[in-house]
Amino acid sequence: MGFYEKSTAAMLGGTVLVYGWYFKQMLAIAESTAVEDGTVAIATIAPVLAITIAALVAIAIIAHIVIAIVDVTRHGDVEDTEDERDMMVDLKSEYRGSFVLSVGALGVLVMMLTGFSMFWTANALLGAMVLSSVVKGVFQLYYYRRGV
Amino acid sequence: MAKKTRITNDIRTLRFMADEMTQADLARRIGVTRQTVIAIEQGRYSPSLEVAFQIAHVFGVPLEKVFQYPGPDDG
Repeated sequence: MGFYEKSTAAMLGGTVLVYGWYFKQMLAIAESTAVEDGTVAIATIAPVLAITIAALVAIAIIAHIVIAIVDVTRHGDVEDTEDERDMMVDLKSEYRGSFVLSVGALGVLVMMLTGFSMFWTANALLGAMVLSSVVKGVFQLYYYRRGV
Repeated sequence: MAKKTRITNDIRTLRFMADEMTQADLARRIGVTRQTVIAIEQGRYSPSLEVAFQIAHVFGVPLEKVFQYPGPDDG
């Protein structure tokens, strides 16, 4: 497994874990708080989102340090230079992910037109971005394993 | 979806004949990662023309000695 493949796997796992926690928190907040009120919605989303972003950054830093240590131990150096295959995998996976994001954005537009509150539309948009990122990561791993 | 390329190659044999050159050595000389060399050897990735020519140059052979593509009558 190359550096970028390991990096993709780590960030995919981190994204699923951290945003899984985030959306669980949002559902719990929606049940107990008057999230239809815009001000309340911002006050409840902001701290959880801040923790989520901080956790993702921490996971990214720790994961890449561990990957670098493993690579140096096994191969003597870190092959962290992106070559043409990495770029091709990235491009093809980005295409798959962007399709999901486009469909999600349309869904959010429909939600806005049909009167959903800011709390739900903001989280739906974030959900579409996260799902797009997850789909991209899954396809990256697929292309790395099965060929591009 | 990704499908296996019809391009075949003799890189493993050529490496063996070149003083058992390692995949890491070949990767370093053509400017790609070791994983990419492995993917090319296993037919999971078709390299760009530039990388293909670089591989041929490393072994000092024409491109057709490194990569082959079946003609219309070869199935």
